[in-house]
Parts: sequence; structure tokens; C-alpha cells
Amino acid sequence: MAKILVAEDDKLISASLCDALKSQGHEATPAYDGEDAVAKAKEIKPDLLLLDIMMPKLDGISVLWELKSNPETKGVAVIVLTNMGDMETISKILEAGATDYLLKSDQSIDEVMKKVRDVLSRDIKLS
Amino acid sequence: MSEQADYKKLLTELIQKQMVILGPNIALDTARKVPGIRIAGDGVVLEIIGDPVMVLRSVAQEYTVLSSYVTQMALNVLKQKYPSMAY
Amino acid sequence: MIINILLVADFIVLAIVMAWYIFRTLRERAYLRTRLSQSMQLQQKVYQAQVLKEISERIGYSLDTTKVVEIITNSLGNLLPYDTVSYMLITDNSAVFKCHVENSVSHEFIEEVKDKILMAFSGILNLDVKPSRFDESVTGNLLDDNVRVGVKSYFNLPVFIGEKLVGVINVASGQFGRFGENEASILYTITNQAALAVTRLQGVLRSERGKLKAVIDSITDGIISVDLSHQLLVANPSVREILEIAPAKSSEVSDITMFDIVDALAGKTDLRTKIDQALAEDKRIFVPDVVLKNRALEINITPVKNEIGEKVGANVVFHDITTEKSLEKLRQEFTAMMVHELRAPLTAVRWSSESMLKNLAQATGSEPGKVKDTLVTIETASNNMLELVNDLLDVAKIEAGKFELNSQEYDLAEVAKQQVEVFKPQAEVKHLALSLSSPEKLKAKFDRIRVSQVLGNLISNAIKYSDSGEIVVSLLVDEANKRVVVGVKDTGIGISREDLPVLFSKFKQLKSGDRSKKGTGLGLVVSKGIIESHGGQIWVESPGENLGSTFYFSLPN
Repeated sequence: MAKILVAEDDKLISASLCDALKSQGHEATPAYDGEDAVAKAKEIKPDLLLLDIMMPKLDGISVLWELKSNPETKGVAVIVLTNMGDMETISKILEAGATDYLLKSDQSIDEVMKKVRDVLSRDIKLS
Repeated sequence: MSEQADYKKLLTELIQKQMVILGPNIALDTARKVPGIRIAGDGVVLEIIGDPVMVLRSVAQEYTVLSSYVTQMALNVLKQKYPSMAY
Repeated sequence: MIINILLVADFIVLAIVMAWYIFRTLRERAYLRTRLSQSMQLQQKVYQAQVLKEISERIGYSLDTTKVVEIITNSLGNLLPYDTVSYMLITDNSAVFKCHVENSVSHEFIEEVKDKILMAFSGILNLDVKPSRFDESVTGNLLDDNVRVGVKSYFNLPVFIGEKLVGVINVASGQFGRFGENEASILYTITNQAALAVTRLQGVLRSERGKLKAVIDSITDGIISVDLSHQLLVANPSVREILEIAPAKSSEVSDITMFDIVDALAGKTDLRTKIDQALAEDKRIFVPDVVLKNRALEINITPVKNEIGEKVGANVVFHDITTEKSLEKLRQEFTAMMVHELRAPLTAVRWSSESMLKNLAQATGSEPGKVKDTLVTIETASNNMLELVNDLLDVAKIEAGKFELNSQEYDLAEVAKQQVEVFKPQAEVKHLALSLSSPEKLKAKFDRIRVSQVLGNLISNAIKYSDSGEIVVSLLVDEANKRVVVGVKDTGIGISREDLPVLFSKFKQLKSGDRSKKGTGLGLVVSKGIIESHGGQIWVESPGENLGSTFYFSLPN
């Protein structure tokens, strides 16, 4: 149903997410580092971006800033995936323009999918 | 005796010095407390009776009570001037 | 004939009376003289005591030698009859001359006095003393040049402090014969005693200051002392180093100033304001984390009082925490790294196994057999590991005091309802009844995720340790103690009296078959940390083994 870009350097996690998204009927594209994520985002113009913070070449927050300051991509909904639940990181994430965030270690795949559905439906309402 | 004369001279100088430093009346009165010494109004020692060294010491002692530093300094100057004498 | 005898008798009587009268007068005069001399002695003693008292009082606050000379001069009072009392202080080539005129004298008289004093100086020092500058002041009665009397009597009091001649006091009169031994000698005694007292005190002060300076200089922290108007009184060498103030350019200006210090702080903290604050509030002010170009400092400001409790200034200590801070920073970075490193692979294992399971289930439709069992094991194991890591990190955070709560206003009843729903399936598997007894709505301020975690922990424990019966979760409002209380009651194996106190601690030695029960064992420790971070309490009641238990926690409301 939706075009989703999965920016995550851990291939196992990336594969699990993409699999789950596909089984939900979405189109899932992986990107394994920050620069690739920016490039792919500009290329395929996804509806939703699942963005990992810790990535090589360019980290998640920087990717977010870049995409949000680019008129072509700034409308994309972003769920940031992180392992750090501290207030400082979370406020940085939200400040950079993320739509929502997830603590990877605390959720199961099902919960992640629920969040994806949730954000997409929010997005539809807004647009 | 030349020694007596020397001590008279020494004591005169001491007393006259104190008259300038401490004041004429007080200096005279203080020296006159020592028995065996006769002093004129201008500080000149007229006569010493008895052991002049003892007299000198006694006078110095009396002056020390008033101001030990002044007396010390005065004696030092005198010692330099008359090194051969006993104090 | 008789008249002659009478006359002679008269004369004799007269002579006797006169003799008696003269005798009495003489005796009286002698008596009066004694009394006078006694009275004078008494007066002198009083004067002596007075001067010494005044000096010792003033010594406490100022050891100004000028003052000592002044005090002695001023205390002369009416003890001796005099016309002028003066003092002269000579430093290098300039002299200070102060004269108080009691009875009018001429200008010439004053000049004579000055001369006499200078001669005294010259005599003492064995030099020709001729100061080029004269700072003069004459007080008291006006000078009258018609009084053509010169200095006829005088005496000088040389004042020595610390073996140094600091000044000469002169008492002068236009009358002859004054200031002999019985009038003046007492003053020498007083002067000597006062000078000695001051000298001794100066010595003590010097030695104490020396000791203090040695201690302060050896300290690696920067220490400064300021007075009430922020003037720098003391600064030890370390201040330069810590604040990175450049060494003095010329040997003349070797001391640093308050300006240098404030400049070095570069606006990172307003030192003057903080000093004022410490003085105004009369307490120590602590300024943590002042980050300068190359260093991080901690600043401590303490007000200083004198022995009668008046504020006289403040001490400021600059403590270098650069190393501690960089260590702290390293530790934080390490922890962050560790968190990520631990959690990432576990999440990967967990999600990929979750994913695989789903695929398998979809692919085969029903029991896939052995493969499925293995995968289930992997998933369970990885879930457990993740739980353990989370718990360990939580415990570490709690112990380090760095446990953050995100508290908002939530409906506790709803949270409880949710958790009960989550665990209903698990309870059913074990044929346990799980119910909730609570008011419709219960608003309170708490961290939703964390309190859910606590409830989940208690309910899952209840299920784990009960083989039959029911579990009841109850909520109530305790108005009296301004709190809400949540209880989780089970009919399980209960807790023996000896185990009760150690339940919530990291190091437990629970007897009986608890090894068989799965779980990290840290759940209660974390729950305790969470509840206590909220300012609440957690506790348990159990009648005994196999008699069930009820876990309670409270949240302030």
C-alpha cells in the first residue's frame, strides 16, 4: 500500500523489517548507510521512512535534518528506530523533525507494524 | 688617674647624649640616682667615687630601664669610640 | 615684777603654741605631700592601665604603628602639666609631625620642639637626620607669638617596635625644672610596655601568616580571599595556573588582580554576583561545571567572618575537575556504546526469529514440527536475554542515581486494565483467574511505561508462583496519606518470614525450589527502583509459606 524506505545498517534487522512490511502489503526498500538513505529517499520519494540512528557514513539525525530541509523530501513521515531511550536523544530526534520514534529493543515486530499503520493513517489524515 | 679621667669623659658623653635623646632633666635625674657620681647641670661628670666601671654599669642600667634600645645604641657608639675601656 | 613674769610666761606659751602649730603644719604638709605623691602614683597607675587597655583594644583591629604613637600621645591627658605634646614619624626622607597645643605657645616654640626631636633621632641613629619633606599639623590651642617663651623643659619618648625606631614623642613646657624622674619615668614604662606588646603581637601574626601562606601555597586548588568590596587580599600561586592567567610581565606587577580573575572566567559565571550572594545569604555557594577553554572547574565560595561574627569578606576556591569530567564523559560514552552494542544484536535475533516463525506458520499452516520448536527456543532465549539486559541496565541506572522518569498525568485504572488484559492469556493457561478491582478512573502523575512495567512484573510473578486459585489486582485511593495504593494478591507459594526482607534486593538467597522458576530475579529490584523514584513505596505481605502473598506499591498523589 505504501512506499516505505528502511534505513538500517544491520542486515538481519533490515531483512526482518522488510519482510514484515511486505507481508503487510507495503513496498519496502532497504538502505544500509546514511548516504544511501538520503540518495534513495530522493530517488523513490517514500511515504514513510524507518530510520536507524546509528548508521555508518551519515548518522540518522543528520539524514533527518537533510531530508527535512529538502523541499522534495521534507514531507516524508519518519519513524526513528533507536536503542537509546534517554531524554536527550529523544528530544534531539523530535527536534530534527521525526514523526515518531521506537525503541527497537522494547518492541516486537508486531508492535513495530502497529506503529507503522498508526503513522501512515495519521499521515493520510493530514494530507 | 688617667683611667678615672677617661671614665669621666665616657660617662659625660653618655649622659650628655641621653640629655639630647631623652631630655635634659630626665637624663640628669636618672644618672644621679646612682651613688658615687657627681654631675653638673650640663651633664659634665665632676667626680666619680668608687669603682668607675661599676658606676658606668649602674648608670647604663638606669638608662636601660627607660629605653633599652636607646641605651644599647648609645653604648655601641661609645664602645666604638673608646674600644679599650671596660664596660 | 609680776608683769615681767607674766610677759615671759606669755611668750613661752606663745612660743609653745607656735611651735605646736608649726609642727602640726609641717606634719600636715608632709602628710599632704605623701598623699599627693600617692595620689599621683595612683593617677599614674590609672593612666598606665588606661593606655594599655586602649592599646590592646585597638591592637586587635590595627597594628598601625602611627596609631600606637597617637594613642600614647592622646592618653597623656592631665597627668602632667605641659604646654605641647607632639610626635614625629620618619620614613626614608619624609617626616610626619603632629603637635597638640595645650597652652598657647609661639611658632618659635614649635620649631624648637621639632629641632629637639630631630636631634633625638640623630642621636639615636647616630646619623644626621634631615628629612626633606615635612608633613605637619598643629592642633589644639591657637599659636600666639606674643608668648615669648622657649622650650625650657622637655623629654622624649622613643618608640621602638620590632627593634626598629618608628617614632619619637615629645612633651615640652615653657617652664623650667619639669619632667624630672618622678614625673616622666612612668611614661617610659608605659611606652616600653605598649611597644613590647605590639612587637610581640606583630611577631605572632607574622608567624601565623607565614604558616597559613605555606599551607595555601602548597594547595593545588586556586584559592583567593576578597574583602567586602571584592578587593583581592590573598591569592595563591595555583590560581594563575588553574585560570591560565599569564605570568606577570614585569617584576613590578607580580600580583594578580580581581580583574584578571574575572577576565579569565570569560563570562562563564558572574563571580562578583556569586560572592555577593554568598555574603548576603551567609552560606556557601557551589558553582559546578564552569567550562573554560581548556579546563572544567568547580567553584566554591564561602563567607568569612571575624571573631565577633561580622562578615569581613569571602574565600573562593577554584577546583579543577577537567580530568574527572573527561572520565565521566568517557564513562557516559562507553555506557551509551555498550547499550547499543548489547541491544542491537538481541533485537536482530529477536525480530528475525519472530519473522521466521511467522513465515513458517504461514507456509505450513499448522505445526511445523521440530524446526518450529528450535525457533521457539531461540525466540524465548533471546527474549530472556533481552529482558536480562534491560533489567541490568535499569538496575545500574537506579544505583547510579541516573534513573529518568517521564511522569505525566495518566489514568492509573486504565493502565491496570491494560496490564490485566495482557496477562489474561498467560493466567488462563495455568487455569488462574485474573481480575481487577478498581474505581472507574484514577488520575495520578506517573511514568506510564515504567509503572506498567512494575504492574507487569508483579502480575507475572503472581502467575509464575501460583499453581491454582486467583490473582486479584486492586486499586484504591488513600486520602489520608495522599497516595494511591495498588495491590496484587495471589494464592501461590507465599513467602516465608526469613525471605521477606531480602525480596527486593539484588542479592537474594531464597530457599526452596525457586531455581526452577524462570526469570531474571531482578524484576522486583527494578520495580523497587521505579516506585521509589516516584517517591512511593513497595512492600509485600504474606501469612507464610503456601499461604499466598500480596504485593503492594504506592504512588504519591
